[in-house]
Amino acid sequence: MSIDQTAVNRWAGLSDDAVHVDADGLDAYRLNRTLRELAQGSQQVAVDNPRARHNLGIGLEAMRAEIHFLGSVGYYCGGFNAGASIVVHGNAGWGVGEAMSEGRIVVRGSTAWSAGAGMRGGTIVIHGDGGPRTGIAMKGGDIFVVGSVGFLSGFMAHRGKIVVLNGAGESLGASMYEGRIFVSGDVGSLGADAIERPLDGKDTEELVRDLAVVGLPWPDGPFRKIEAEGRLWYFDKHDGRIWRSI
Amino acid sequence: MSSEGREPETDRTRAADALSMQESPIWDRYTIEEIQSKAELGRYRITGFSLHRRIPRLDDLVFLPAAMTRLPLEGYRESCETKTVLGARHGCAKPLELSVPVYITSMSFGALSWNAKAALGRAASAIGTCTCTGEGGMLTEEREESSLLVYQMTPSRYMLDLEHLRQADAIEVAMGQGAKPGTGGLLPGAKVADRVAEMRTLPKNIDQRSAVRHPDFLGADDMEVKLEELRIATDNQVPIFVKMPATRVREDVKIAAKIGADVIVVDGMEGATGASPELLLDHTGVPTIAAVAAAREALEELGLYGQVDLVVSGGIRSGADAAKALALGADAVAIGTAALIALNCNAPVYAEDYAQLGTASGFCHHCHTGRCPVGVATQDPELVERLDVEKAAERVENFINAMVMEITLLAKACGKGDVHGLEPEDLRALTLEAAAMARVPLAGTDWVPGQDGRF
Ligand SMILES: Cc1cc2nc3c(=O)[nH]c(=O)nc-3n(C[C@H](O)[C@H](O)[C@H](O)COP(=O)(O)O)c2cc1C
Ligand code: SF4
Repeated sequence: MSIDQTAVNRWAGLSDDAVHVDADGLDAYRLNRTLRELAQGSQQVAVDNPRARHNLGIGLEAMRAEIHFLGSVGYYCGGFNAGASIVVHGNAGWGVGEAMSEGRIVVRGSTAWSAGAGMRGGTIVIHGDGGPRTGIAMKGGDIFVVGSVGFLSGFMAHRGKIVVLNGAGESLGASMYEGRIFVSGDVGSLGADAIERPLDGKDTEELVRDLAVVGLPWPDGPFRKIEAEGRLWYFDKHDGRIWRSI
Repeated sequence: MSSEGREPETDRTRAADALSMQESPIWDRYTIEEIQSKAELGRYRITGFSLHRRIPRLDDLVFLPAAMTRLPLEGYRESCETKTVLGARHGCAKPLELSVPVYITSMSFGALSWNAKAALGRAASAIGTCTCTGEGGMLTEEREESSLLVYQMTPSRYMLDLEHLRQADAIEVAMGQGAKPGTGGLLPGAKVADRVAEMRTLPKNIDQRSAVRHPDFLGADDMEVKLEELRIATDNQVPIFVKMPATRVREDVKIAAKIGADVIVVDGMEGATGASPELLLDHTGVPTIAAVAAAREALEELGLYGQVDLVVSGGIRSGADAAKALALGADAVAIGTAALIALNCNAPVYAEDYAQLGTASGFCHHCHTGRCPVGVATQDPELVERLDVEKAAERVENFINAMVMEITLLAKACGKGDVHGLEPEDLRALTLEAAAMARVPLAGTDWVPGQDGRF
């Protein structure tokens, strides 16, 4: 390969001794195995030519190295992550970090539908926009989005937190349980059973701390806190009018 | 007897009396009760168990054992193979090797008690077959008791992460179930007790309606990627099942096979549930007898019959039902309700508690109330105590052994040295409906309605 690796490292903010793996010619299984082996020894492993392929970096556990995908990735990148630290230098397809329990995924670009679907723990940071249904069915962990999120984000979130700095689409926070959304900027609409509650001092403290940890700025406008009202949690004949159309 | 002031009884008045007590076939007492209960509740009714109407069933088929044209095997002397391997299609390291073609289906912890789950696991292990988690996540006791445990991935993804995925002996991607196709799971608040709430990450005691669509894939193309992801996450150690309700069976089975399922589970409309809107039980899906034939045909048309394994469930009550499903094309059957009944469901004990639910043993379908008198379908510690894990496991083990004896009895009578040798040719139908749905000839004829354009 005739790429100037030093220049690539500089572009991605990697150190000069980052180990490079070429994804071309490795199927997802072999790439995974290679990552596991290399990641025990080095500090940074860079994957060249991800070419927006699906299923990259699946089911990785905590390892010494940070994994860097140098380009966009397809569906389910970092799915079932159990502790690894992954950086995507590009955009990510559907379900980035789905079913993740621990670890951290940073996407420098934007993500497609369902980022963090069902995640139980760990952190996802999206520097561009989050697609529709960001944080759907999440059970824990945190998602931070510098841009906006698409429709139905936070849908049926059981627990965990979504922090969005620049607005959300339609039906934000529909049908949640104990998921929490903090959003700054314009919101298309709130979803079924979603309700805005005032931020208290503890919320603000938490957000200040969170944003400092992930290295994001405090937004220009105020945050709104969106939670579930709980009206869909029980079958109750008095809510027949809501139920019949939901 | 005519006394003063009353007219003498005549044939005419007797007929009039009978007529005045005649039930309307349209507005019968069940319909009236249903309307009045909806008028009270303001919503549809929710119930456990299975459907309430007669449908064509495996019962409508009979075997043609060997006589002159075929040789039977000796009932008690010649052996009949029952071993069943599921999921070898993509060369995973550990396909499921079951000693029998019967296993225990997905029934969630939450719908069932922890003792019920433990007992089912223990029974399955004693037999050498597998059991399945169902949608509520993986219960520690169940994992410990089950030598082979299928982990179900439902749209709600309760507890789903790498740690639990890696503990599974197979993964089942749930696309619905026969009792309530097109809708998600349902768990009434009475059963969302501490442990259930924790495992599902839910507020305690809410009426949980699980999602029906998976959160991160929509169509077949997405799902193909998802199945590959599961294979990578498990390092291709274990098989991937796809479970679906029996609706558009031919099309759905073809899609599942094409996108890479190792095992396809088709759950007929008689498939049971812990809780479902009542109308879905009775008005959705197609019967198991139709589902098996359609699934087999779909796989045959793709040239994948025998490579993709086919499991059938829904209303399998006996070795006879199971043997018929195998003959129609299934590689194995999965049982739910039959195993619960073997545990103790509907057993004639604790009569007062059945009465409190407004029912009696033999009629109970009240799993949704969380007040199961025998400790099977409840989260109340006192009721759960009533189910002795050891004894219950032994009953289920005995029952499955009996089922398998029944299957081999029929197989040997049909001259088969392996239960998987049973074939559609061994069957005849007793009704036109069964003949048309199962694609086997009506008894006494060589006529399969609709086949070769013959109606
Ligand atoms: C108590 C109970 C709980 C169930 N839970 C689930 C579940 O969690 N996931 C699922 O796919 N099917 C579930 N089912 C459906 C069964 O897996 C199976 O499809 C059905 O019971 C088979 O029919 P049978 O009971 O007539 O054998 C449940 C059934 C029962 C009776
Ligand atoms: S006895 Fe228990 S398991 Fe059986 S139908 Fe009644 S409540 Fe359900």
